[in-house]
Amino acid sequence: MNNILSVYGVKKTYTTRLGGNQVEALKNVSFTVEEGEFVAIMGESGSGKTTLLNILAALDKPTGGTILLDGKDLLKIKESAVATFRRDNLGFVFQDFNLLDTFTLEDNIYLPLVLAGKNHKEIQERLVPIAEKLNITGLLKKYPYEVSGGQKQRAAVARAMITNPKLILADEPTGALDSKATDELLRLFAEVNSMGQTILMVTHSIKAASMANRVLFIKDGEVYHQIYRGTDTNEQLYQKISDTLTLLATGGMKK
Amino acid sequence: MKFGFYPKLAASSILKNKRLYLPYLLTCIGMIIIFYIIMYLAMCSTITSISGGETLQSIFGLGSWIIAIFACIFLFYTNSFLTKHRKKEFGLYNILGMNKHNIGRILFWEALITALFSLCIGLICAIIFSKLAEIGLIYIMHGTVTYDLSVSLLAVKRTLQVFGVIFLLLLIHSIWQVRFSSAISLIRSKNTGEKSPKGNWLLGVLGILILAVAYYLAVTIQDPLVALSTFFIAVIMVIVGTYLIMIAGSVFLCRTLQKNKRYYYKPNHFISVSSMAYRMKRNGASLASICVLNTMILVMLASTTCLYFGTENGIRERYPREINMEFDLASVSDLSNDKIKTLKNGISEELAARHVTPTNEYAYRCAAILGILQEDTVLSDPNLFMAVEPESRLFFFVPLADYNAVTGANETLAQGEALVYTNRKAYEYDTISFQHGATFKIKKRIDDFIIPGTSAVNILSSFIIIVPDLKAGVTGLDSLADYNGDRLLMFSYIYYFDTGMEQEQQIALFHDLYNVVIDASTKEQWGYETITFDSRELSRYDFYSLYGGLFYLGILLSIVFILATILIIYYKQISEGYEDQARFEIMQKIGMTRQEISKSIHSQLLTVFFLPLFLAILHLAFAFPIIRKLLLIFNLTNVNLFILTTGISIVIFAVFYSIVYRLTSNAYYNIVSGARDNL
Repeated sequence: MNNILSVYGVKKTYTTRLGGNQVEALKNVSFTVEEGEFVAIMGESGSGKTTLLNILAALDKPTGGTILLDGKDLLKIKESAVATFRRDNLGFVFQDFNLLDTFTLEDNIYLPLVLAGKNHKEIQERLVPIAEKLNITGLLKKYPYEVSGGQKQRAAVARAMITNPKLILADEPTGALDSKATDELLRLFAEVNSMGQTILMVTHSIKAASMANRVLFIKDGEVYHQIYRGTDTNEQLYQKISDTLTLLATGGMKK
Repeated sequence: MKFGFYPKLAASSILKNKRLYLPYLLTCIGMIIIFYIIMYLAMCSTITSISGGETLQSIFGLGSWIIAIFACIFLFYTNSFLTKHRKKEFGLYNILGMNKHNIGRILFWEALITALFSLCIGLICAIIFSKLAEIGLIYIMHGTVTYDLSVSLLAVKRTLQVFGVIFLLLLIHSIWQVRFSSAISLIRSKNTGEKSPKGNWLLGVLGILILAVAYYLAVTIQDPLVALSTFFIAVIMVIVGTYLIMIAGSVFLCRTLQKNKRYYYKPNHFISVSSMAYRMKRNGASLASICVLNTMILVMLASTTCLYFGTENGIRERYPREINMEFDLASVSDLSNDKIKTLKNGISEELAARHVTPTNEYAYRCAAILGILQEDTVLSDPNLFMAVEPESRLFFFVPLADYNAVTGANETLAQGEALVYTNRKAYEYDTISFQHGATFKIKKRIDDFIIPGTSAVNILSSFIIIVPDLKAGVTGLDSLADYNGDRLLMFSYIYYFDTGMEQEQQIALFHDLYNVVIDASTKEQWGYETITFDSRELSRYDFYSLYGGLFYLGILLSIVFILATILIIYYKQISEGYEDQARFEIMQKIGMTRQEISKSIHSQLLTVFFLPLFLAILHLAFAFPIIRKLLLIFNLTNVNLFILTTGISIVIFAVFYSIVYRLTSNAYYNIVSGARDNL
């Protein structure tokens, strides 16, 4: 299988503003994501998950290491081209949705393509099947403040998908949802993934992670462990993740 | 301890919100200063004592009310912005256990602190600045400047009253806003999109109607005497109409733009149009404020500059020569050659005795009557003269011999023929007949004639009829009388001349002559009834004090309004910049480049800036006729000068406006793109 994303020895060191104390958010992270995979990254707060995601999204620069997205070195893209690159290759789903209040859901979904200067007709045609699949066709004319969290998140997924990105990055996508909406969203993720969409999700929800094909655990800025689904059901994977987390927390296990 | 709690809480929350509060306080202080200064100048006794000062003060009085209305709208605008931003804070208080009553108390103390603070600082600054303003005004009016600081208690009282009411209204408004919303809605209020106001179609149509009526008033007003009060009504209607149209119109504009998919779904329009639609109510209000300010600035600059630079023109029309005498005579027989010779000799002797040789003389006899022109017929029914009609004219009959003498022409006229000259409104018929007098066939229209200065400055157009024989020409008219029995036809002898002397000598000569000329025995000897006797140089002061004063006021108010405009625009851009920051952050995450942000800002700012300027120029275009007529009251007849000063004002203002545009767009851009560096 083809590697969509390859991360080699990525480091990120923050220098605190006063005193010059150095904080290592990421020590040495390496992993790969194959095309069509659904990977979950788990870890406690402060383990460096969000830092990693920001670096993968080209929103932040690592202190060291290499990141290849579809064979292209992310760090060698010029500053001016980063935004365009992000728009064309990556889709985002955020914990707090990040929908713009000024737009209807429809316009929110259109946003990346409008920015890319695409023709309106083409955009509209692209939206129809996606909206259908995400069950938001009837909500498109509403504003974000008029719909529920689950509906907002589905619109955000539609926005991430409409550009046909190589990789969807999801940052705690279920963090602000109730359990029903969470189930619904995870089901959608699995479905989207089954159609070949590569997804990389950062989460600390075991339930969310148990939908993935593979789960990476990050602790103290390093990839500590990973679990492949293999032939496990969601429930079995859930159990495995749960056990792993317990072990991680008690510090009893080493890769 | 219990007592101090709410004031303390209020004071600390003002301090904590100083980034929001400071512009608001500055706005309050600024409005108070302007209002007080104008009130002060309107009541200041030193200005009343300068000639022309009283007229100026009544204009200041009107101006102060416009400022009061403006202050009210402007402060509501800034205050509603403030309340909206602070709803979250109030929601938190609410959840932490304060009821609406307690919050009301905090609001009350905040309003009180704001009011006291801004009134104190505002009045102190105002009193200091009012002296400067007074000195400047007196200087330009050539009055005597006094340097003692005076405080007009009445103006202070008026300021306290007007702003007391405004602050009270603001307090009621914010309490009302907080009281009728739940804690949750308070906490979330910042995130609810502003729904477009209901019934905006009705408002929009109402706005267009009001504006149309105001435009109609402005364009059709005929009588400049009525113009002043109509102008005031029209100004208020234009302000109201502009607000309605901008508030409802911006909704409509955004909707239309959003419906036009080709326009809307373009990278640079997409974001700006939608964020305008989101905040359209407030955008409408601020655009209207900017537009009203722009209009005021343009009208003021154009008309006062025109007046000031037209002063010399006005002086020369009113006083054709350095020394001007207009004798009123008792009867047509007093205009006989002999009588006039006696009069003329009398003047010459007095001048010779003072070693003055009159040069550039302009002397003629005339008979004048007020009449209403109805096509080619002049109605002179005394009952008609109660009101001044648009077609009213002052008719002057001048004997041909005098015309030939003063102009050096060699015209001849047969009986029943006449030469005609009109100063403002042209006359297109070939004959002119008087209802109670003779009919003349117009032989020729003449291009130039110096009409009596007192009539030249009259708002009525003058109509000179040069007849072969004066006595025969006015037959029939000379017997007309009004209900008091006073004769309608007036007989005058006009005598203007230059002296070739210095200004002070001219004034001295005038004073010297004046005492002799108005003396009863001279009157008897020269055979006249009354005289209008003026020195151009002496009167120049009067003209400059009034026109210079108005010019000064125009510049002063323009500066003030320009500052207010900058404040509104800057404040609006800054505050919206902070609001937009989060949005642009999201957009950058989604993949918007710096250039795209810059483009989007550009298209948004362009609309915000140039729509009001455009509407202001439209207002000015419709105000043009009414202002021109108002300027006639000040004897300014030079339309070209007015067009020129209007054009120059627009250009200067547009240049200035563009500079503000650059500055604010930079500030906005820095705030919005700052989001990127914080990531």
